[in-house]
Amino acid sequence: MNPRRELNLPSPTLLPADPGSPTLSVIVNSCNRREELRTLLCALNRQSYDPFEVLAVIGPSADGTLDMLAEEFSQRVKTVSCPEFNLSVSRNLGLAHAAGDIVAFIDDDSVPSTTWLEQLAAAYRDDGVAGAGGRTYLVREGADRIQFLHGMFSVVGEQQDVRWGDAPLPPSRTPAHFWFPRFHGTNMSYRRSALVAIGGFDERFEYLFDDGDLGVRLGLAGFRLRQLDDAVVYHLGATTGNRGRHPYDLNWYSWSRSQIYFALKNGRPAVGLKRSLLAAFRHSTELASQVAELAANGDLPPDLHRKARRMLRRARRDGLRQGLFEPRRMPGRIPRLDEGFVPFPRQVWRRAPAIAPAVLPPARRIRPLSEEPISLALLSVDYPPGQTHGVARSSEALARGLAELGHEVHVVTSGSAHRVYVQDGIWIHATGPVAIRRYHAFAEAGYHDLAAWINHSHEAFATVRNLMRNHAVRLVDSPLWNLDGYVAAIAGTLPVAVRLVTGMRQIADVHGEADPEKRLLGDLEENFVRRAALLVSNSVATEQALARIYGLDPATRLHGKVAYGIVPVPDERVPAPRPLRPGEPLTVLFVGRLEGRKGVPELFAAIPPALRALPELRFVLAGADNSRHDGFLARERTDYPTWFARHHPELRERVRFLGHVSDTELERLYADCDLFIAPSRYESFGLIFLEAMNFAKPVIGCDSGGPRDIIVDGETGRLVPPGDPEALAAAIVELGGASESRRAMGRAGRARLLEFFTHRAMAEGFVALYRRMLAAA
Amino acid sequence: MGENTAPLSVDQVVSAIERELTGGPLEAAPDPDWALEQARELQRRFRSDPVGGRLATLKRLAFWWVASAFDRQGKVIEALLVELEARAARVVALEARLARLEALVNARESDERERRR
Repeated sequence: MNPRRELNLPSPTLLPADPGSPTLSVIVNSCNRREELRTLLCALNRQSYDPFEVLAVIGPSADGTLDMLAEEFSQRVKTVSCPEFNLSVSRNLGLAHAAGDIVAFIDDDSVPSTTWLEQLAAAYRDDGVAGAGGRTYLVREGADRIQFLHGMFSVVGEQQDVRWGDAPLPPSRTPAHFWFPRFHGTNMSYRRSALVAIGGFDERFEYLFDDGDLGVRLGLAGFRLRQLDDAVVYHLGATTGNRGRHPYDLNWYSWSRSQIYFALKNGRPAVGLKRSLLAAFRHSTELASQVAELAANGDLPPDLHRKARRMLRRARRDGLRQGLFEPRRMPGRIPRLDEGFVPFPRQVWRRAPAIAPAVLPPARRIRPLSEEPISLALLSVDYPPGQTHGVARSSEALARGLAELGHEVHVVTSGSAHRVYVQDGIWIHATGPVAIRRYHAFAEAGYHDLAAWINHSHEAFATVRNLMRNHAVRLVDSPLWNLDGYVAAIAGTLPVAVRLVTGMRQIADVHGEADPEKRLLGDLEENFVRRAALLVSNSVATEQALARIYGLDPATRLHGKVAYGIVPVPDERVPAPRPLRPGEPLTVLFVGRLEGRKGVPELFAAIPPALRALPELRFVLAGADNSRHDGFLARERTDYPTWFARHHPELRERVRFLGHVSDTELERLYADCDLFIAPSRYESFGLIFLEAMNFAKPVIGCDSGGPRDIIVDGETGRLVPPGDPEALAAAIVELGGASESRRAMGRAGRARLLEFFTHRAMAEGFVALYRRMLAAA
Repeated sequence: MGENTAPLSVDQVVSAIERELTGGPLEAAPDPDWALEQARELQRRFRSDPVGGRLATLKRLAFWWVASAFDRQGKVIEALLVELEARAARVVALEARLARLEALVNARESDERERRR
């Protein structure tokens, strides 16, 4: 029986279909960004809200944007040409052509979350709300995740945006009509009637301060704006016509002029001429000092510095003149050029896959889908690059396979910072390094691993909840490893699939340990397995372990076996088998942590006789030493490499220990070796064998656990009894001395991999199980 | 491990997780009403503060002085940079003139030598 218990948590579900839902017009203003615009339009297919229309207002583009729209989106997207490179003019044009009750603005280099429009529309259930905006995440490796949470503009053009970690400000609650909320330009929506009432956008704002000006004017006119906690939009921050190649080659003119103009136009009626003039001068001087400082620090080359100063001088003159003596440039009465509401045909999304933001043309990635794509959260505390162990690698292969099949995959991992980015069409949500923010009691009681694991599990669940609200993810997939999805399983808001890997109890069995923390972690793993809605074994051995280790009868649980897979390297990268000339070294490669479970002691015992039998043999061992955790260090008072060097000083030249190696280095090692060996006493699967087979190498493993499913003895390599150094040495000598069999086995291994163990086959197996789980849930 | 002071059980861990889950919002958001009260309180204190409310004229004066000082400083920097730029241009012009004169002198000297020969 599944003891999953429903806790009293608010469950973010999709809104029920409401016949009275407002109609929405999504306005995209674009110029010379064809591919980004196409990505956005494909992503809009996945919106959960209906009905909405899409308006693309195209500036003076020279990159064939209009042709692309005519070819790929005719009859689906209203296209309007804007003769001027001016964002406010473009927005006003969009407003005039919009037929919806609500207008939502999004930049062409952004991608909305699945429930973006649904969340915006829900805000308008309150009749008093005239505008609603969401938060913006910046999607870029190395960038902070949050670009905009909420923000305010003062009537004299001071700007205060709130990002993660800043003191929370009360948006929209203002001292004396001085500060007003503003939305981020790429994530804002308004009632069309409210924008029409204030006359639309002031076209003097070419591309900056337009959103702030709108916020202040709406506020002064008495309209209420609502900043939403979610309604996420992902912003790529692509290059623009207002930004040069150099990071500080900006349109300083537009920035400074708009700010001076803003302060005078909005500040003068609110706080008087003197204060608004003061603010205008302050803005101008601050920007000038900023530019001078950049030049003094050498960040701005002399020619750009001169250019910036010229721009600022001109901006001061123009800003003052326009702000003091010239009227606003408003479009006048905004007509409703009613061409009728053209609903965006969202049904296409059933055939198009999830589109993750990327500047690469997504057209190549679109594959027809026979069934509705699944949106899921895939948890893995460790994730490549930089993580080479099996769980991290298999998670990556699964994510890539699922994304290639057209499903929306959100990987939740720890990473080095709190951020979001996209890799190979997969969303990566990094929560930042594991920190003990909660569950201090565990750490205080001495259970440090437990505290770290559960803290990460909790952070991962917080991200999953966010994904439920913004992307309507329907399931969580977690490895047993590190109890990643344990908190999600306890919360019970989504079904959790658990990928079974080598458990703590199996590791403790092999290492013969009785550490109380490891025992508790083993018990928690059992509890996790019992709470899971679906169990996935990667091999027959794991399937059997389910009953043996956890006392579970697989027949009573939703359970399936899917072999892991990897991304096959292209044929041209597989090295041709080289003929071995006499005297040339023959390399045997071992990859794995140096620890007892990986069979390192047996390997150490097998190396000397093998080297004696075949003088051309060389051993290369890649992997970090783990003697501290498997009890070896305590027993022998030394680590594995030192122990070997001390006991076999004469073999130093022929046995190399590389320690932890990078992904690139590892790939080179696989490509260069002649024979691969991994004599693990127990492996739930053994991804390393697939990695060697990928490069057409013969493999030697032990006749236990997962390797039994992978290696066909005598055909793709050799299986030897676990814990038997003599048999291991004999197999090494046998294959080392038979170059023709090595080549044949390598070829057979690669053929087997391509047939049964690709990432795509793995993903297909998982999807079938997910669908069964969702049907049962 | 070995330093565990009290053995933990699965039930204790699960209860702790459930407490955390139901204890409050996962992503602590500021309570807007609370934030509004805070802002009002700050404003009230600010008004009763000598510099904020009672000596408002003095504050405005100081503010004007500081702002105009910044402005003046900005203008001085601008003026200096403009002057430096002008001088740099003059130096470049002088260097060019010097080079032209040197070329002229050389030409004349070589003419002179030719004539003497």
